[in-house]
Amino acid sequence: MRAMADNIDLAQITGINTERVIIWTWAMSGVLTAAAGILLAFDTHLTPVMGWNLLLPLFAAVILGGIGSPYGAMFGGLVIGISQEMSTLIISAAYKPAVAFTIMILMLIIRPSGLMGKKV
Amino acid sequence: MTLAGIFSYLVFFLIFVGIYAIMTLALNIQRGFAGLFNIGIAGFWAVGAYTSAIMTKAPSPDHLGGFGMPFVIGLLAAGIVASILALVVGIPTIRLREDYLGIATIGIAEIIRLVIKNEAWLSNGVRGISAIPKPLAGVFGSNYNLFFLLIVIIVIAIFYYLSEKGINSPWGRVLRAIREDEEVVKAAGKNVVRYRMEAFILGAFMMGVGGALYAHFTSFISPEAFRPMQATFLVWIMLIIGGSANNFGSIIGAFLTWGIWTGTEFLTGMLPAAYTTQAAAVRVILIGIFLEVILLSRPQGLFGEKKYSSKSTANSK
Amino acid sequence: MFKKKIFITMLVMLFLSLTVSGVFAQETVKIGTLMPLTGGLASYGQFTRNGTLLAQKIINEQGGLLGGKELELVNVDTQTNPQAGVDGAQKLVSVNGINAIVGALSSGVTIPVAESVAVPGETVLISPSSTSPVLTTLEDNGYVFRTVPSDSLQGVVAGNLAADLNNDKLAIIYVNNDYGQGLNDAVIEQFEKRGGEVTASIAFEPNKVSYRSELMEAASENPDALLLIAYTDDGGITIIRQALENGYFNKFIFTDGLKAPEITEGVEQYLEGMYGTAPTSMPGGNGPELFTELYEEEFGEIPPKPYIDTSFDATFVLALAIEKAGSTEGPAIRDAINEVLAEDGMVVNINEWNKAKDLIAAGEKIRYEGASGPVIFNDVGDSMGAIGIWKIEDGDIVNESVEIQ
Repeated sequence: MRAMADNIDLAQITGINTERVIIWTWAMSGVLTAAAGILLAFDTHLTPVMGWNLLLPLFAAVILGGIGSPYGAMFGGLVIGISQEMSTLIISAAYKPAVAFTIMILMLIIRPSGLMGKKV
Repeated sequence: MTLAGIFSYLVFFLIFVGIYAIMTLALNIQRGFAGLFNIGIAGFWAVGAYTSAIMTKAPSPDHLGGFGMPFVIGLLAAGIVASILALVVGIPTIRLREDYLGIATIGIAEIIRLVIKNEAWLSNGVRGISAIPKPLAGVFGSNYNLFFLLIVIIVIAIFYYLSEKGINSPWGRVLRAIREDEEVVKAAGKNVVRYRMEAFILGAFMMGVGGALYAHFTSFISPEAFRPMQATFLVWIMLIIGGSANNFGSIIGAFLTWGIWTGTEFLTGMLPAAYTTQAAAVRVILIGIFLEVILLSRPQGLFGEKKYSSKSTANSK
Repeated sequence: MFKKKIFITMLVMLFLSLTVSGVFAQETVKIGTLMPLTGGLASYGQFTRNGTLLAQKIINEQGGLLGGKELELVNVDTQTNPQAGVDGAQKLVSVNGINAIVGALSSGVTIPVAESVAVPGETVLISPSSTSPVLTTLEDNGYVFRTVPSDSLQGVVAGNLAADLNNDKLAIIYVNNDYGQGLNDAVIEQFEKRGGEVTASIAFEPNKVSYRSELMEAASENPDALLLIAYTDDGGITIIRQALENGYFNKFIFTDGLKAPEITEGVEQYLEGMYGTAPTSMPGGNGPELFTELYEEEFGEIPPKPYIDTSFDATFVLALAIEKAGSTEGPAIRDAINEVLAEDGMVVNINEWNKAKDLIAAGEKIRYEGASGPVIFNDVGDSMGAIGIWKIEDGDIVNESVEIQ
């Protein structure tokens, strides 16, 4: 999987079944997302667009943690989530969604590779 | 139903096409020529619209200003404020890889939307700004839209001319070279960041002016008008349909896409009334199919990248 | 190159044929409707459109208007978006030659439509649901009406309700749009007038996964109750659940957006006895009951969504005005609306189109007992309205009383 992310042609030449890897990658992320969806529905209520509403904060979390680092992604998610919730102590609640983006943009400026990502 | 009616709708339709064409031309400079992945068009659009509204409106207690300035000053101010925003956004993000720039711009557009929504002293918040003056309203009576179309066409003509001129110049050549291979240009000793920044700001200026025209035409703006679907992604579709890196293609792309967007309404309008609800959904599908057909038959857009050659290269060959 | 030209010509022709095909139709009287069938308010638009269709059916069954012509409704989808809404309205006015429009739903679409299409195009616009106070003060040359009262009315009633329920300290959480803000301002003003204290007034962004921080802030000064201004599907339900789950509040007051059975699902015992407000029909007359009956005959069970009845009324009133004016010209229709409707006129029920026609022919004024109650416009084109108070009993929503303004 990591080989493919780096160079898909090279991976193919070295005999990796790239299509199977792609399918498995999608399957794994599908399972994880579905699990998250179930948990979210327990906490709130079920709507068709609940995933779409989360898309942008998720980007922020991944960038914060560092693309390609599972622990980074988890950590990034935690940081974004907690800082959004805690932010209302300082700023107006209406700006809550902006917190994720601000963190994301700051991160892109200071350290585009993310907290735990490798240097690109 | 009359010919005059169809004509007046056509004028109205073309005004919208024109405003979108300005956006598409602007995006073409950023994306088509400089390879900048800006998915925050809605933000620049909103900033332009609000700036011009505040500058030209009569004083109002509901929001900042208005300053009662003439229309032309409003347009220029809209472009300048949008440019300043681009500069501020660009300084930290322009060096980033293109997908990161994309995410950063969408984040900034979202922050702008939140600021407009929440800072009532500035923008009257969620209630929006109404009664934005139309230039020379009252002089043209019922032919007013025709006059406004003329303004839009003049603006397009200026931007088109500048854009063509710029892209055929050495400046434009460097831009396209950067898009293809940044490293080579760097090796040639050009300041890549500066060139990209200039393209970003120029595009933003045009988006600001386009936003201002939108505000004056509809007379009312609220944060609702600047959602990503209609304000950002539609412009992207227009650029892709028309063909990236082709100014003429951008304008045609805007025409065709908005034509499909609204034209499908006539098609589904012919279904029996009982199916109206379904028809609305079918329309969205139809739009998708039309766009797919164009993209599958012409992956590079209706007009592919135009072969540009500036005089200096022509001579050196 | 040649292929390209053919391709483009084909596309242009396709587009033109689409435009022209809308042009052929028989002699009918047309009213436009601007309903959102896609986008944010799609779940409302479907039913408000049914309201207008019902009015059309009644009118056509009783012989149509203007000497037996059929009423035709032409709908365009606003996509809950101002750009598309303005374009659609212009289409109705220019291409379909319509000078009377019902719509749009959200104020964010209605106001730009009014300013850039209806007023310059001399077209009468009746919105069945735009409650923004901005519409009251719009410079509209009298072309813009609405069959709902302005938000400020409901705010006054909700503020009084909060005070009447013996709350001294109130926290408010409201959805961050013109509806939420308008209501919030009106509630604060009225509640403070009654001597109460609003400890927190917090705007929330719709569709987030957690509102715990907003709730924590709202609960920080120990208010007696939470007044929640939200819709069910943009976060209202989430807020109620998270408030109960974490014990931030146990007393709630709701507004019209939450007057829906979904809010109590699974939490009936905690919401028992809570109150809410919603615009409702003026008492007197049996318009609402009749409307429910006719609607259910035609479309099946009536959903607990607002503005279906006001859409019906908007259509009916436009038809009355066209009949009175004897023409489909905008200025004539505008003037006819105020000429034909009068509080002390002859009573016309929603299924008595024939009677209405006879009365108009005889030059009588009409008191229209509409689906949402008697429809009377004040001099700025706002409908006089009534606000109802509702209560949750055994998990169901029950109407309690009506406050008239």
